[in-house]
Amino acid sequence: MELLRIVGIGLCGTLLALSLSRIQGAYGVLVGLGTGCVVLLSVMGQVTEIRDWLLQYAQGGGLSQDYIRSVLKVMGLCALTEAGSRLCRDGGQGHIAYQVEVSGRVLMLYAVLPAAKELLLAGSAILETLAP
Amino acid sequence: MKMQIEILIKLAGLGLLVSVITAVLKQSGREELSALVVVAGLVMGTVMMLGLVSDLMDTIRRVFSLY
Repeated sequence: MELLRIVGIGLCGTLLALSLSRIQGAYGVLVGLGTGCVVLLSVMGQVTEIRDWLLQYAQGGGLSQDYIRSVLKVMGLCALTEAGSRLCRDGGQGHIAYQVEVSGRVLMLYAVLPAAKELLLAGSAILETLAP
Repeated sequence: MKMQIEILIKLAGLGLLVSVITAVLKQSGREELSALVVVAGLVMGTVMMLGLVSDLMDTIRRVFSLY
């Protein structure tokens, strides 16, 4: 079973990182990074299938693929930002973690900017038709 | 999958080895050498991890259509 393997990897990584960070703090962070990469990579196949299904479904419903793509982009940015900032926080550098989070939020906002612009235009068009 | 787990185990082994070397060097009174060994071990571990990290980054970039 896939989940049992992932839980096992996570527990092994946690134990290794715990015992290594007692000796040298940086090795714990390194083991945490490796464990996170292994765990995330092992579910990426399923994520790809879910994404394909979502894109197909959106196309069937007549929704533009660009919107789904921007949502996916934000999800990817969110995953990367969260993984990075939590690693920094685990290493004891809360300030760097905060800066990473802020940069991630800025990039997320930048990624959805075209969609937000269109949303505002659509809203103003509706208002124009309702109350000219 | 098997290879990826191996990297994790290798990293733990590297950490243990470095800690043993550091302890021995500290016992024999060479503090500056032990610091160097720690830094070298960190660099080795990071280089070992680089392939995995870039693999993850590529996958995420492809799946979530970043860039």
